[in-house]
Amino acid sequence: MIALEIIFICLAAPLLIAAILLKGETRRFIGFFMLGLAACLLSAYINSGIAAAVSDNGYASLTIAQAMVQITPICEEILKALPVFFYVAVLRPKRDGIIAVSLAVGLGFAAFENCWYAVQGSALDVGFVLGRCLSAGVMHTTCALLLGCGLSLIYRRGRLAAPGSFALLCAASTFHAIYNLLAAEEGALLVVSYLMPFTVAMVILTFMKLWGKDLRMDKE
Amino acid sequence: MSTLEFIDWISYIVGAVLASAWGILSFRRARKRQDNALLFYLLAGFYACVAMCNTFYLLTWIVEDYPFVLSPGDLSWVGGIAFLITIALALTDKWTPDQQKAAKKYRLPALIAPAICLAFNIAYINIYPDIIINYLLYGIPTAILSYYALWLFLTGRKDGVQPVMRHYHLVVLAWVAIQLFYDLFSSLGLDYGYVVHFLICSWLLTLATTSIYFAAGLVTRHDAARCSLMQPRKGADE
Repeated sequence: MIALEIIFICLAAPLLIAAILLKGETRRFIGFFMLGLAACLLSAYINSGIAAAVSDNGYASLTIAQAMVQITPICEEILKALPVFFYVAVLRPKRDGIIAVSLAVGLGFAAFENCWYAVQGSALDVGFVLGRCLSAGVMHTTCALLLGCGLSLIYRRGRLAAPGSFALLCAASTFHAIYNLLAAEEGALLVVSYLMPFTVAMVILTFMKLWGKDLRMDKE
Repeated sequence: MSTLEFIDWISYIVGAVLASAWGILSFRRARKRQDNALLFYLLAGFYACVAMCNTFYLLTWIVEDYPFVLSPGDLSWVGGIAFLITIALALTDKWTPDQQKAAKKYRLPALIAPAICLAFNIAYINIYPDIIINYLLYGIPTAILSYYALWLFLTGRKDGVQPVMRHYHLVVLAWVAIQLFYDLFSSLGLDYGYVVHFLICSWLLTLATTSIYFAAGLVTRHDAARCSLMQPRKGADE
């Protein structure tokens, strides 16, 4: 058993107990938080596979760094979106429920990734790890928020849901890819990568805080 | 990268970001009026995708010296097209049976648009068979979008089913056509120089992209009867 699985078990076990004891929205939030952890674990396996394939035979003429920019964001965003799509398609929830569930998955994903960075932190510069943890955590949450807010506006419109969801997934993947591209650099571009998720998150939060009531597409 | 290219990229990104922000503001205003809100929301998404696509390309050009052939930037562009397809679907979503019947006869003529799109893309694939995935990724969504745009343009013009939207569909068709010619210039690999490639093709694409927003805004102003674009037009079947 490697460190990744141990981190997953350590994080998921107390949450599982809490999910059994609690009910309603809190249980749902914890459940989807755990699904976010699982999505991050799964994406770690897939990313490791991609890295191995790239380093073995130079797959598609990519270096590992390029694969992390081009393939990883798409893979991670799909894995993060799958539980949310399942929730929307099967349970037909209310609007606020979608945003909460999407955030829970994003937070779970970010928490697991940050734990992994922290475990690796002893071998790396503490400042780098701290900056990376903060910015990557906010970035995953922001991507989840983008997806959740978008889905909550279109999910009840029948045929619109499929192309709309695909478009939102594409947007989230590209935002993630831009972050990864900048985070792989040094100097000013690295600072920009750290600031970018915070800026976008602040814009979205301000927007939701100021105009939240005006943005409801469906009256509930 | 030359200065002209850099200005071209930056102008496209800034234009798309401004249009996206303006789309969100219009969405909020329209939402307050209970009118056309979804259109502006989806348009804001389209412009955000266009802006992110170009930002990704510009950054890869700066960081890697040359952009990747197939990247998340391409996915963002496809996402933008998916937003436009969603708008087209939203427009037909709540048609009455009579409106659906009136529009049905224009489905077949509208197939001309995707046929032309696919013909262009097959030609590109013949020129550059190495990047077939790229052309398929762009070609198929563009063909679907062009089909809906031509179908809804024909429908609006002849039968009065949401006639106010025909300007919008015309601009979307123009946007698709400019994209095809832009790709044609790029694929042929001929040296047309900066003037044709960047000043005409690229800025024409920028103009068409921006015009989509204004065409949608025009619809709202012409919508004197306050018939929501997302609702069937009252009296259209009478």
